[in-house]
Amino acid sequence: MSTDAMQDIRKTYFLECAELMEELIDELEVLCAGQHDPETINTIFRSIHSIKGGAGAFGFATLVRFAHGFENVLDAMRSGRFLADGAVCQMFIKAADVLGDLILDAQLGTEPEGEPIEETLAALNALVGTSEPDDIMPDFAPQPLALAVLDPVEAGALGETTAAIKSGSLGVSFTPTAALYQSGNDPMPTLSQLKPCEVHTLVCQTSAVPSLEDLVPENSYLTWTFTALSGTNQAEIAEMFDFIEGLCALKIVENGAASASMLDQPPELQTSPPLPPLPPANAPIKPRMPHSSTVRVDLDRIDRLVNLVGELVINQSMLSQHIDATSVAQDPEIVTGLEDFMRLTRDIQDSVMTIRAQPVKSLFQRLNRTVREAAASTGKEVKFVTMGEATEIDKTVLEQLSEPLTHMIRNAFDHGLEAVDLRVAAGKPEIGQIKLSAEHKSGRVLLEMSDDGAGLDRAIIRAKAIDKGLIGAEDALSDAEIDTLLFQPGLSTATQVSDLSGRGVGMDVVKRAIQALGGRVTIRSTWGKGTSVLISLPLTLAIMEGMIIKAAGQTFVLPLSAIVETFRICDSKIDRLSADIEVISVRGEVLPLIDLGAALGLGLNTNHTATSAALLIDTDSDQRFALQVESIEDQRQVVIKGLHCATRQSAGVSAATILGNGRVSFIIDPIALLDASRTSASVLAEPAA
Amino acid sequence: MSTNASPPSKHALDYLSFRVANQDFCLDISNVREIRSGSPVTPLPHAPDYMRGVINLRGTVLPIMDLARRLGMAHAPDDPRSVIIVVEGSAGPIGLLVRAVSDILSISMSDLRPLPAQAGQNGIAFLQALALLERGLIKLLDLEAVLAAHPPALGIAPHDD
Repeated sequence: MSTDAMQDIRKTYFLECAELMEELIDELEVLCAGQHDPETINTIFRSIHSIKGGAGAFGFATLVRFAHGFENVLDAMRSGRFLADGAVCQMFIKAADVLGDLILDAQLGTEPEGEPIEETLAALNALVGTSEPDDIMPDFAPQPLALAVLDPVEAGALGETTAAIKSGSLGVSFTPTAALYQSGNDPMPTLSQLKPCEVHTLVCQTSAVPSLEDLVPENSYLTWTFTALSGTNQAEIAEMFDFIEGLCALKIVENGAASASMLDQPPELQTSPPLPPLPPANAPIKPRMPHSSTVRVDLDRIDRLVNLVGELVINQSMLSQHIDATSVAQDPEIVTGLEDFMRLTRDIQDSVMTIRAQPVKSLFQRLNRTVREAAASTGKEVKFVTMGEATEIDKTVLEQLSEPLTHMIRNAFDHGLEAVDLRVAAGKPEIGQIKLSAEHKSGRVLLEMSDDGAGLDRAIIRAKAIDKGLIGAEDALSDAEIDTLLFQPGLSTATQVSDLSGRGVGMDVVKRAIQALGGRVTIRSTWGKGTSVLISLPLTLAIMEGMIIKAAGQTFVLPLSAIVETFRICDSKIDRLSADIEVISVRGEVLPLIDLGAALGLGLNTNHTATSAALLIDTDSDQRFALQVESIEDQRQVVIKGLHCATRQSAGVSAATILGNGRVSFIIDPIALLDASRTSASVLAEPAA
Repeated sequence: MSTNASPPSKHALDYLSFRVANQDFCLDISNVREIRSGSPVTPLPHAPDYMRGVINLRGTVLPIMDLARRLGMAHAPDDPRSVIIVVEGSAGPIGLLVRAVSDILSISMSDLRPLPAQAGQNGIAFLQALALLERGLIKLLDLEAVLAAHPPALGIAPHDD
């Protein structure tokens, strides 16, 4: 098998592992919620079994060993040896975590950590009380197999034992087909599963093996027969061969002894077309719920499609503009044609954008694990509540959110949630709560993580900030402003550095990560009640509703979501506070006035004539200002083009777009503009961003 | 079009020769993606003076670097006949603005001469080597040097409003 094909199959295997793990965790949650539906246990078993099978095909020894142990325990539970109670469930969850780690190690090629694996395996085995299921090569007590002797076993020899064990026993004959070997399976592990059952006289029948000249190595000639004593029923036996169902011929006879006579037909010598060694996840699994039909697509292909659709939007817009300028613009057919074209383009755009979106559920599941680990290491009991799991976010954004959210959870544990005794003293329930919710709202995705801990201690934050020189000792800051200080690098109110946090590299990294995704993050807190962090992200990364404006002779685009209103400037309302700062009063509110041309270093529009227009900008963090421009042109949907990293440093410019006339126009980031104006201002005492 | 008359040797590489201000340079052609005529540039706010701005290259936003300014030469007023050489940088394509493009030259290792060991001059810092050809001395541009210093330099653009 060529290496390329192997790589593809490997990739497929790990993708399937991810799905299987998700299913596993789902079912474990159901189990731990108290449901003892046998189907739940079966699904868990099958997930692990499938993971194990594929792992065996690729030679991931540790993974196979662990999965095997896990599987054994589940099997024992399935046959009613013990019940799943709280402690057992906890152990299963831990085992699932270890399994997930082993899969990751196998995927990355890193060495798995031996200790947690052995510990968990030992704990699992303790449940079952069996000896180490580690040796996959058990010793049977079969009759000796001499290759020279090709005669079937004497029926007589079996007859004796038959008499002794007649009632309630099952005679089983298991014949692998050629396909079984070709798909990389091996009868040995399957037969070794029989160990816990009481198996008597397991014999390998070699009567069908031809002489060496006629022997075709790829065919299957061997059959195993054995008698299973009372205690195991037919269904259980059949289930052991479940995963190779279809690849073998299995005969189970009640109340009989396995005998050579069961070999009435020679085993099927199937010369079915060679199957690639696919992981057994392709073996028939009967899911409880119908799986939605999906297609796996390379992310590159989707990106290309998204780009092309973006081009289409630009092209359509350019076409419309050009046609508008000509005489055919009046032709009714052309007008309707163009309108249809525009509508179709928008529809395609919307559809394509949703392709990359995935539900946040997988992210929330991972965070659940973070919560458990943090709870274990800090000793604080916490209930993790999630809402809006089905909310969909662009896949890349989802991946980038994992780290910031993990950090926020650790912060909640370290700083927010108090120790149990403090909570009880404050009249709060012993078990703390962390809530994580996701929802779509007005064209954005809003994520909120809140805890019911102690809230932000503003006095300490203030003190630390003064200490680090971020603010002056005399500065008066509102509560919201103090909360925002947490986003400064190097600020941490932890008195000790813990494993989880405290090094002071936290919230500013979170803020930058969120901003890199085009989002905003804010903190709200009530002392004694709790803290909540809000993240607002754009729904799509590529298209934006924009306001086309002109400043300093150039065209720029402003995100429509930031604009509250537009108005004309009258000189009388403007006040100049210093050489750099101007303010304007709008309906009683005094706001900083920023000239866009000046802020971008392109020349100041010094004439505050009546024809100057201004836009009232409202940022997510509720800082408003007025932006002065030459004129406001149009409102349009634009395709966001990333800037070459070398050009991205310009303050105030976040990206670029291509207008209908083919010219490049920069997209303004209002918050960056405001921050930039503040750093150069000496009057406003806000901390520099 | 003049052709290089030196006998081709084993390690001859192709170089694109072009004119910047009033001097000739050349560039390894494997780095060149395309050559196009200059188009109106959208100026980039807060950029160093050698970054003229960006243009629309078939849907991609392409930054344009004025090579004359970058190499520290006295820059001529904007010439509408100028040419943009699109090269592949480590962070994406960049367009180099030059006066004109001349030839494709085949230069072999034997034609190369080392640079004089004079430190400190801007123009020399961006050169990789010199080549002595029939038509005269030609300077080989070090593309990495031209592009490499350029991101960090942008980062220190002051707020001068």
